[in-house]
Amino acid sequence: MKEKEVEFIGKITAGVTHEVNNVLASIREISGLLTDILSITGEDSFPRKEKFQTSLQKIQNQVQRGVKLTGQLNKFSHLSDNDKSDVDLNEIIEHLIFLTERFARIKNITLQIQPSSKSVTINTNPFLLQMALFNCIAYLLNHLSNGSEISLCPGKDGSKYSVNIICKGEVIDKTSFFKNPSTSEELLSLNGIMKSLNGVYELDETTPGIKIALIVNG
Amino acid sequence: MKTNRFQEFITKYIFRIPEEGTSPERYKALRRNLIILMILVTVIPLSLMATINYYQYQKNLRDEIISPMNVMTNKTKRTFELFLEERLSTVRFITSAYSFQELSDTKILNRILSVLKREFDGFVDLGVISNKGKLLSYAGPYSFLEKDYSQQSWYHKVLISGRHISDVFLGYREFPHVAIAVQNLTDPNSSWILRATIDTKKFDDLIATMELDPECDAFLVNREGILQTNSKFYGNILEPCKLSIPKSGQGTYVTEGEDRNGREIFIAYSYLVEPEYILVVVKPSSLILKTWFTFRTEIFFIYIASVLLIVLLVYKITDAQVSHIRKADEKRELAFRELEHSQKLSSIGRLAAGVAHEVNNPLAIISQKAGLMKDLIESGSDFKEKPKFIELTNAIINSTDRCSTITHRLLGFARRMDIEYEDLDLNDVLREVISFLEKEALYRNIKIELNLDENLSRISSDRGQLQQVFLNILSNALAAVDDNGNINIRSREVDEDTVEVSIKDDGCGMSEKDLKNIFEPFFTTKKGYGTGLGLPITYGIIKKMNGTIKVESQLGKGSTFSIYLPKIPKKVLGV
Amino acid sequence: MIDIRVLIVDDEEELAATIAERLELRGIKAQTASDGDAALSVLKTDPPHVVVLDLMMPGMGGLEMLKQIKSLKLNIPVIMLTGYGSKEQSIEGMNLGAFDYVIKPCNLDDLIAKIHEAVKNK
Repeated sequence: MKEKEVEFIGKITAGVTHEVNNVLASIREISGLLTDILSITGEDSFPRKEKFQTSLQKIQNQVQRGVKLTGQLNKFSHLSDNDKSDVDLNEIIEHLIFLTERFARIKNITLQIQPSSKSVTINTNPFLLQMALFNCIAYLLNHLSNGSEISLCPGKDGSKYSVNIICKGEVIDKTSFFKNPSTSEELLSLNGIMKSLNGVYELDETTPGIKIALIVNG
Repeated sequence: MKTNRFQEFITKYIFRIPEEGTSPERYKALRRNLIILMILVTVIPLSLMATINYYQYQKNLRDEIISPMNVMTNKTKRTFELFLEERLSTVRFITSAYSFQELSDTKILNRILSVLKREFDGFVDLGVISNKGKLLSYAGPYSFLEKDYSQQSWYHKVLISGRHISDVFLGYREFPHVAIAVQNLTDPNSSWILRATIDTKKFDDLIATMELDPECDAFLVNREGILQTNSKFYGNILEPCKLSIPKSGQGTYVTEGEDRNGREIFIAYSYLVEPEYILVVVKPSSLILKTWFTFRTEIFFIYIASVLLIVLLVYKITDAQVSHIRKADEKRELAFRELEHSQKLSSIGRLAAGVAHEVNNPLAIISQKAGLMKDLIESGSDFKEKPKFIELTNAIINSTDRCSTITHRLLGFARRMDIEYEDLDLNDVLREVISFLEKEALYRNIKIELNLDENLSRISSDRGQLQQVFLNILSNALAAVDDNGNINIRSREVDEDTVEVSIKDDGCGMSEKDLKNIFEPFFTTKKGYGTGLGLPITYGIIKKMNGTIKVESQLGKGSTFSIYLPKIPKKVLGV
Repeated sequence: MIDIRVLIVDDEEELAATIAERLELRGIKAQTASDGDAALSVLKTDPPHVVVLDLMMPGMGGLEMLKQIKSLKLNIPVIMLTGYGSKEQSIEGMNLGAFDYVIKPCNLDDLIAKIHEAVKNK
């Protein structure tokens, strides 16, 4: 019954992205029409024509940008559709980075992926995996200082699939970083999620930086 | 550390408790282990004690039989010995006190015999026998002159040891007798023997003094196993004893055994020295067996009953305990899962909100660009396509407005994952919300009637989200009524824990079919506008606050939305 | 009617530029800055009458910027540009001394009205 709530959110988000997409589409059409009309209008009857055209182009660019965003958001909302499916680790990490980039950007922290050389596919719950990664990133974003770097490195070792999240940078308040996980919201949630995924997470205080490893049995 | 490893070993391998979790296996294992442990701890000492008791009692019972038997047999043996010793001494005395001549005189012998008979029990006759074995003089009931005893064994025995007490024999007489013979050696050349005969009736009397139970038997045997007295069960006098008697031994002792009939018996043996009789006392075990069996049955039943009682109690107690533990564990699990879940929701919310924010940026740009385009055209001179252009740019701007409404809804929704409680006056919140919509109501001449309970107690809730809820419902009401319509808002206290706000309108109402779907996301009856998200969000907020929302509506007549809120929210998690 | 000068601070350069252009068409002079440092340097050299400040900026962040502007004690009113979901930030901004706020995507007429009010209030 709690899953209904998650489903609900997924549905709402999906609905919103569709609506927004529709609007973006209509904006694209309208500006397309304007571009067309403009192209057959003479320069002399419309002095600011060039300015107009640049503006329209810019609108198209922004529409494109918006569409990309809604596309990713839509993908996110559909993650909870399946309990289990084949997930490409590189893809899901790139998706997550796209979704969470703004959080990192605000803190001036770089979020990047070190993709695995060979594509790694794991059959698991994509939504939960996404949530797990997000919790790690959120936790790190709360504890790293300006200018740090977070790299996500997926990999596979036999039947163990792992995502190593390696950070370069200063840790704000190191003592609270490793404190009892049950007192940190993100780690508490992560704990539960990893259990559902049949995996574990490890906090590693190796220098330089910190490592969180998510290990899931395929 | 050591105790931990030991515990680990026990739990992992011996008791096999599965790892963490509230799986039923864990509780089955726990129950099983507890029951095993408790039963072991109680039944083992019980069994130990029962066993000890069993054997202790057995021993005691035995001792109760054996000791007295031993004592009694010994005493009786002593009595026998004394009796025979006395008689022997008497004969020896006579032998010493009187001369051969005197004793050869029958008259004197008779006189001595009558004195003997008077003073001592049992003497039957006296006889003087020459060293050649010939009876020389006799006093007694049986006249046997010129009898020759030289071939008889007792005669030889007397010659060897100087005195002899014989076994019981019949000899020339009809009754069983015992002979006591003493040799006089004052004149080695002419030794003579004085022989007295004792009636064995005295033996029976002595045995009778033991006062044995009728099931018991006591008798004398000689070393060859020939009965010297009558036995009740094992033969008559001078017959071989039907019970096998160990030939040699000394003192008195008691053993257990079986007679030829298969009876379990206690046998006491007491070995006399002179003569070499064995006093045998037989007591059947059945006497004590009865007591023993009663005891054994008793103790058996008590033991079984105790074990059953223990097992029953252990089961019941363990059940109760484990169920208690499981309930507590489940409660805790549930609380954690709730917490986890709300964290999950909030992170989803954050993510979705983040992206929605991002979408706003390009939208803002599009909006401004379109606005700029519009500015440029409007300020410029007329040309053929000008109206078209204006229309199209307006369309773009309207689209962006519409988009932002949608994203705002999502952002608002995402933000509302958590409720921030504060102490507030419900009526104040209602009045605030009404003031937002006042202008429109006024403009359309819609009457908003207030029935607010001024004494309504303050409640603990989230102001922003309550505003959202009331705003949503009131907006819907305004949309439903025609101009000059009526809206009635009422607040009241339902009971000591709940308050109610109801918003009634006399607008167009809803059909039953629509009523069923109004809380579905994206369901809307507003054609062309409205996202269909308002009521679902409202519903979600109310639910999160642990309240309820009810709707009544009649097509064409109007609708009433009733919202029930707890005054003090029940905290789901005890964190 | 004085020439109003406005500084628009937003990391979305495209947006800032467009708003600036539209303001210019309405007779309001506008400058843009895409980060906190650039903004502060403009404030120090050529202070405007009003600052329009986007709260959702990386690095220094909108609120931090606001504090710094206020600390310059130039008595320049600040109008915040906020996203809908950051109501708390708007409230905090108001507490820090901002003059008013508009929600992105913003209505230009709204913004202009608020700019006029801010200038009047000075």
